[in-house]
Amino acid sequence: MKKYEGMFVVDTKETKQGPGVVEDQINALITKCKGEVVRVEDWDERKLAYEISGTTNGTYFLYYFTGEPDTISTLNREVKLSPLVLRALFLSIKEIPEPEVREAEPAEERKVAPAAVKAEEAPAAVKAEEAPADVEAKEVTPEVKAEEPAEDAGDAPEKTEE
Amino acid sequence: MAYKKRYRKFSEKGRCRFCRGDLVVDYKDVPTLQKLCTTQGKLFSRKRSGNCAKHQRKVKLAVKRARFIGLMPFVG
Repeated sequence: MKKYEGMFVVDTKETKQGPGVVEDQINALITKCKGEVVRVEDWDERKLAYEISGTTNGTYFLYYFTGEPDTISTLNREVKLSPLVLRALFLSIKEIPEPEVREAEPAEERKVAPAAVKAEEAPAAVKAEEAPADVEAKEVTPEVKAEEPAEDAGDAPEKTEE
Repeated sequence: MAYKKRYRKFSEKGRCRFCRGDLVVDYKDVPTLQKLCTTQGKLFSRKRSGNCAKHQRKVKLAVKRARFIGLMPFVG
């Protein structure tokens, strides 16, 4: 199984469906092409450097996944046909890097909101069971985000760059 | 004559910001890549950027990837 890194660009309007909806859809896309998602990083929501398909604001998702070499060619085709994903870039990597705490505040807040709500209801171990594909991601997020439980409940996803 | 050539190679290695070891060329690292482009979005030459040949090639690839994914502009 080869290791891949995939950067997906999605229209910001699609992310307003709810937290995690877009990520689930992209997860399904990767699994459909016989890939296994190892980790997801909610990247920035930022103004695109140029207009893509009529949109100027995009949300980036960074996926680390494993698969066979033909996974990528199938994924490229699926991405072109998908109405959700604007652009995607896939790279073959030697090792999946450790998660870093990035300074992008809106992305972190969005990721914290669902994680913190679940943290109040259930312990961290149960969270890992809810998304078996993203085991590593869920294990990291409660450690990092547990430091800010009070701030999340009231915070709606903020747009800083508009 | 031989020692003269070696001396020149040695000083070139020190000037490349990626050869020093702490920075890695990555298409996601937009602030670093923007320093290596003009205000018009064009790539700087190796003379201007101070990169070694190996890293100049990697920077070129990284900038083109960043442009494709919408992190950097093609023009402007």
